[in-house]
Amino acid sequence: MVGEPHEDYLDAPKSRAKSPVPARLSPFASGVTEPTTSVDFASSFPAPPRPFFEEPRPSSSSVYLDLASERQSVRTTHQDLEHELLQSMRSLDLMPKKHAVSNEIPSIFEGCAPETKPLPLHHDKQFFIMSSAGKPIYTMHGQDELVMGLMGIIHTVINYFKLHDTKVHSIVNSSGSSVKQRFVFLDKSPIILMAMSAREESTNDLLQQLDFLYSYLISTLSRKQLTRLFSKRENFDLRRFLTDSDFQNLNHICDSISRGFNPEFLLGALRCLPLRKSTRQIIDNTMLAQIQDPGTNVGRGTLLYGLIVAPGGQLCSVLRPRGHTLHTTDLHLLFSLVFNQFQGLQDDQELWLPICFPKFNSSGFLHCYIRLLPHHASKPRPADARSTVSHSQEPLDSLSQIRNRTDLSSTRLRPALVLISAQKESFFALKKIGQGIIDELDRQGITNQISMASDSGFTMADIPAKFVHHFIYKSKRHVQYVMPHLGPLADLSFPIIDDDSRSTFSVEGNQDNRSEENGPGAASSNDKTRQKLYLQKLMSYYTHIRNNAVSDNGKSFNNSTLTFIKWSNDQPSLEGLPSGEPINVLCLAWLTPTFELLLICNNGVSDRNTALKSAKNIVDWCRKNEHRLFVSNGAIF
Amino acid sequence: MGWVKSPIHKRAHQNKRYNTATMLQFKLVLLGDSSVGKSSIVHRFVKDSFDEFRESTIGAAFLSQTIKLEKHPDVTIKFEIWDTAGQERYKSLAPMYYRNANAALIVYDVTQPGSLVKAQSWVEELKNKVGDQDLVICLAGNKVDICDEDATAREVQREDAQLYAQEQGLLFYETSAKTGAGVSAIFQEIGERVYQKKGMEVPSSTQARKPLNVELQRPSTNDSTSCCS
Repeated sequence: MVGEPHEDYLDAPKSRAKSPVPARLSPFASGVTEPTTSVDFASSFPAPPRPFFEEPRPSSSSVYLDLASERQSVRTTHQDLEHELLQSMRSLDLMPKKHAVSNEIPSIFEGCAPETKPLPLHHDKQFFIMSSAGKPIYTMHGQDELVMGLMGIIHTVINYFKLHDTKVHSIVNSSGSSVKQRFVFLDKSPIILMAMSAREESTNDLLQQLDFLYSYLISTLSRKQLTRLFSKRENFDLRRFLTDSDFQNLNHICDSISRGFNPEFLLGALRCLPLRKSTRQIIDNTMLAQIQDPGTNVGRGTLLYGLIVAPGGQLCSVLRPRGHTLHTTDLHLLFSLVFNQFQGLQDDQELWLPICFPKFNSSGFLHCYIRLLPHHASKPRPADARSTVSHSQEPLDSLSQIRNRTDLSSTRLRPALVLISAQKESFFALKKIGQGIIDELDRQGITNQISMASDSGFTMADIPAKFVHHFIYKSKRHVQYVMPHLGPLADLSFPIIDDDSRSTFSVEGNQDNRSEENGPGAASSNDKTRQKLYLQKLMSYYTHIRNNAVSDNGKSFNNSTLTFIKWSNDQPSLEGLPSGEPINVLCLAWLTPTFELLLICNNGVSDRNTALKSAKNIVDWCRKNEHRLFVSNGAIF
Repeated sequence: MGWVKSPIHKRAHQNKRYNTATMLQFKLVLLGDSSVGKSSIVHRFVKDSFDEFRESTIGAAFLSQTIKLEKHPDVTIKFEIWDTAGQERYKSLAPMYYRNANAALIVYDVTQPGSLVKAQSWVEELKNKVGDQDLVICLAGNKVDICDEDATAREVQREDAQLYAQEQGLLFYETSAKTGAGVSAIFQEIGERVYQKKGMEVPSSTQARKPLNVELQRPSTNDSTSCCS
């Protein structure tokens, strides 16, 4: 009976419309002193049974080694059998497990109380990269001298894991039922990576993040070269081989993982730029026409892939050979390089960049021709900025409202065209193709449409979903996600922004290097800080919402899962909190084999019926607009 | 930063109107140690701007800029510029950039003696691989603005570098991408020299482009699967 409510939603959302769903779940405990989850099974399931592999967990506060993590046991001899056993146990365990996960959430409230300014090593998030011989390579916080000792400990722990021949390693520092810190180790000999998080991120989240850091190193060095460097001397100091830009890029990646709004890491999907179906069709056809044009005289195999990507890593279009796709991680790496490294790219500058795509081929390099799409200032500027916007080509008509952005300064990030080849000599061939594509897109006014679409997108107002603050919808088939545009103004309306310092997801602990915040900054920089904090908060919410619906190894508990979480604060206002605005946030995670929906309701909405109805409307809307929201196949040649 | 737009740019625009003039297209490659200011020199030349915090170049950037020769007002030269990464890691890609170049601008940092050593090794490599009768090589000591502010910062004396350049038959300039000093002069001089060497052989841009593509089809001598040695 426990699995039943979830199975019902599988691919039959409409049939649920009249059945009183929430009534079946226990009435959720309102008015409790601490923020809690909406699904309160504490009374019905006094002691949640854990799967066998988790039994060694001590309940008291202690550090223990999670040696018997799922993945590792799955890799042992009777793989299939054991896997099935795990699956069935998991299914049986569904509700209590969910309860257990839910119960862990309040611990973030304890852990996140703003304390004194953090010491260099007192962060709620930390990444280390070191060589298998124990030489430091990179650390997110702290100088080398400070982390040297820690590296030694990490090295010892890794060796311990090695002795026990395990694949996935994590250590959890727990206090009662709550996880205080989680340490996850990734052994990619000759490189070791470790992540520490006090943010209730799952082992899988941290593994994904570590894998991305590792992938960056591979993208710049290639696995082949990395192995070669260390094969000569085991205690090779990789820091000397890496360049300033590598460390800048690593810093940037760590920063975007821990402080940015990047659901890519959480969902393992790319963000897609919403465009009209016909517009996307024109882009695809244009790209195809260019490479198939006999005039271009490009040998087959010169061009592997072509991409158009808008700022923020929003995919617009893909040109690819039949039967070949690029891995999300590879594209994510490429996009973050394009938009972090080349922000200052000049209009007519073209780049020829060797990059190793770790998931494509970790031992060789591909060569990317990168060029920004031309930007045309809104023609002869009329006196009224409003009319400028209205007379430009409508990019998304009903799908979006073009926001009245008067200052589209030329320094803004612009969409980029990326053409990928395996031949390092093919720059001029790709340049020719690229020029053809850009000229043709420009002629049809598409470049402007892409620019504008990346600046606006759709908003909650476009979707008939009541009381929803924000959502993320991932289409599993496309491995892409979409979300309403986060405009600068809309962001400030979310109530929780108003109590930054008190908020459950406060990231104060990480702001040691943002001294300008309290300085006499202009209002705009203040807005920027708020915007950044808001996005971090949103990201924390999504991380929690999703992790509430999946197990620690990132797998969904069941084929189809629907969970609600609620954070509420019904206490009398805390000291210093002006008039104590009540926190009452209802969130929903809905995972099915075809889509994932993560949704945050407006503060104060507590009716799960309404939330569910809105969720269904969103799913319907996303399905109906699938061709606008996602890149389906791309241009295939 | 009261840098006034250089006359080069005005001429470049005028040229589009008077299309009757001779238009020559030449390839130029920038080489040198990392962070000596190669990209900054190019951007001073192409955009007439300077960015104090420029990210280091990965791979290579391709830009073009058109100038009119001061000594031959009817000749317009379009430079196709390869701005390469100075990092050792990308060194094995360099031959692809300088193979068909008409000119090479080798940059060092006057405050970093090691960068001149590196520049000299580039000169050697070019002379061995390309043959200097085909290639105009120019040596440029960048960041002289630092020495103008603080004379003690200079580590490479102008005379020493100039002497080396004379011995090797290179053009020599000291520049500052930050103030713009010497930058347009360098490209004028390179343009002049390349025109003298090549101008007669390559009459028009349309023809200049063709051999370029043919050369590209030539099989590479390097392992095409890896960018790194």
